[in-house]
Amino acid sequence: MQSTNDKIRKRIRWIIVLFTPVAIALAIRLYFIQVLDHEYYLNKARERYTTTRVTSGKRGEIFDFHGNLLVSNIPCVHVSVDPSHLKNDTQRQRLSHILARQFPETSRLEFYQKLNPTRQRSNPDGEVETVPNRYAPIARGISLEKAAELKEITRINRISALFYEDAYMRTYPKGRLLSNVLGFTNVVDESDVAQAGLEKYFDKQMTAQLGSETYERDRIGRPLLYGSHISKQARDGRNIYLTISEPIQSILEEELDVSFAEWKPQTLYAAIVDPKTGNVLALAQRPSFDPNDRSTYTNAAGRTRIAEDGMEPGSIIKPFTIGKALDWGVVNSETEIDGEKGRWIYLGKPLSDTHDYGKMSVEKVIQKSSNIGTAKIALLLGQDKVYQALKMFGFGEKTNLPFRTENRGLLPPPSTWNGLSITRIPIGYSVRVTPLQMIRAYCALANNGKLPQLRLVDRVEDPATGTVEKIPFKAPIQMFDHPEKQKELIEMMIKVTQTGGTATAASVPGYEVAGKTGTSRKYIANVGYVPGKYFSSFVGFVPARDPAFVMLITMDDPKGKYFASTVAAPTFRRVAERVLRHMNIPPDPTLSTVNTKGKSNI
Amino acid sequence: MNIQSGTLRKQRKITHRSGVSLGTRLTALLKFAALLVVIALCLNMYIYLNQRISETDRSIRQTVKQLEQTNREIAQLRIRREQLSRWEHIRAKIEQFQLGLHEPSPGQVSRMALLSPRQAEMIPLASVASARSVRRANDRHN
Repeated sequence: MQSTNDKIRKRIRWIIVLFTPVAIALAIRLYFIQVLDHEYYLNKARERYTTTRVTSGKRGEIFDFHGNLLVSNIPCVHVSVDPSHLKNDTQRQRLSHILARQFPETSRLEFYQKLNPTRQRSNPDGEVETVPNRYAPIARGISLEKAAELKEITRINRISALFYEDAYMRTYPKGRLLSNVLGFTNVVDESDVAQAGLEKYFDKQMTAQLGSETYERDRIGRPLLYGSHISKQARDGRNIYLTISEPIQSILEEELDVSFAEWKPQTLYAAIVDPKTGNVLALAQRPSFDPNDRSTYTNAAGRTRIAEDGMEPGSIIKPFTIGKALDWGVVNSETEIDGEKGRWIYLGKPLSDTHDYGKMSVEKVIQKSSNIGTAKIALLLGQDKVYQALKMFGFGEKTNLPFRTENRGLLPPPSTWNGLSITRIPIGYSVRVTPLQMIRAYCALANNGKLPQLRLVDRVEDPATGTVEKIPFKAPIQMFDHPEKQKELIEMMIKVTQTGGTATAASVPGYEVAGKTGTSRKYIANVGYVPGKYFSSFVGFVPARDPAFVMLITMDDPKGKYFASTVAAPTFRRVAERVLRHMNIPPDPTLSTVNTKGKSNI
Repeated sequence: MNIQSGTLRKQRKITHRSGVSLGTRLTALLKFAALLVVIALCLNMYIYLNQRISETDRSIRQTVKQLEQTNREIAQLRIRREQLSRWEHIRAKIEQFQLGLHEPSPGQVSRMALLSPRQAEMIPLASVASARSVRRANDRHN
């Protein structure tokens, strides 16, 4: 018979035999779970209690030279609804009524349909099933005030079905100002996609870098303060600072509006440049559009036409051939040229001046804008030299301003010229030039003969680090072998705006203005020269001997009158008067300061 | 001898009780109670701290949200300011209120730097800036 102790021992042994394998199995299992499959289970657990959220920075902004905001991101709110939160049809009706009053562009019935608590959905088998409707968009990009008002109304009515998402929207606080240059963006899949202008050219720099935030969350998704937190910071896009001066741009655009209304041209181009630095101070065209209101956008209004459109410039190109003829010693200011009584037949084709100037000096050729005189000087130079002169001043070459579709213009090489070309190209025909190329070339005349590189962007700022990258200036290139010849040319161009010149309407009381008018017939490809259609231009700089700026005004097909001296020169004068005041350039006390042409616009 | 394990335990208990005094028992009880109090205190402290952490967390979250909202309002006001400072708007206001404003002649406007009181103390009254503006005014009159 077994004793009690033996029984106990036996029981203990059985227990050991039974539990030891279980303990070993558990230990092995634990080893697998805790050691071998640790990462797998850890990740699985993490998936349940951690969340990753994508964060986005803001798109870069665009400023003028002095930091005035031109393009920005305005805070706004997107509103959506979860109709399943509506308790009954009365609430549904009330909410649709509230929404229709807040957003009148959508009818009450449409909102009522949006608030339907169920919706139809096709399942993978192709069967249509009814499911609860948990989301419907109500409005995008509404202002903070409107969102606050809507919140208050729904709170009073005890409706809690609306959801508000904070967002930013691209905005152009200055409206039409510089719109052709700035361009615009569209919203595609919740993000801004650049479409045109500087927005597109600097898209890469201005686009924000996405960030992410991974955190442990509580039951309702809030991040736990003491949980682990990994985040990659989103970076705001870079800010672009232009060389544009907003006040000067405003003056220019305002005066362009006046001229556009008065002469109704098809297109009006204008630019103001500091000739010493090449900084573009203002750049405008009409028609234009308001990037905040896309209904004003048309293809003609939206393009950066001042860089894209080419034209036969007419007489405004004359100073370059004549200037180089002076510089190379082919003629001097006193050289006499026969005006051929205003009509000259060369190679069987007539070339005319508006008047018979008789025998005239080179100075008079410029002052009176004589086609015959200029053509004869070009013949003295020879076609290679004429080509070289125009090429030197940058015609036929891009200005390299940040426009994606800049036109190179057309300066045909001498090998393609016919016999008449040498008499036509120096007077601005058979050559195609963009307004930007023309103003760049005039900068060389204004800047002691040195051709500057045009600049539109002054600096780029990284808002995260505050570092500023200055866009470097390029050294200007001297165009004249004898700088005194450039000064002689300026003296001739001053006479253009004085009594007896072609552009007295461009003179500004108290200042000397050097400039040149140009009226050219409009050539359309496959059509030819269109009767009654002209390009009317005036380019000038002021004060003539130490210019603060160079300005170009070009009208494509002005209605009524078309001579540049009548349509473009007065626009130049009005803008110049105001810009000189703004720049605080004192008038020359030796000159008359009496305004004989009426008051300026303000 | 047939001694069962239950009987042995009972006997051991009786022997133990009889050998321990009341004072010792009370001391042990007090020690135990004190230990319980300490544990309870620690537990309460732990709960209290957790509660404070949660409250602070909530308050941080609210502050961050308020900060974000304020930043958004600042951004909106900045854009509003830029909209109001645009020349078209200013011109419309000039016309609306028929303000007889005209642009100053060149040289009428002179700029001067505004100094803080400390900077002003460091610079004598007849400063370079004022001397320059006086000189400019004189030049103009001459």
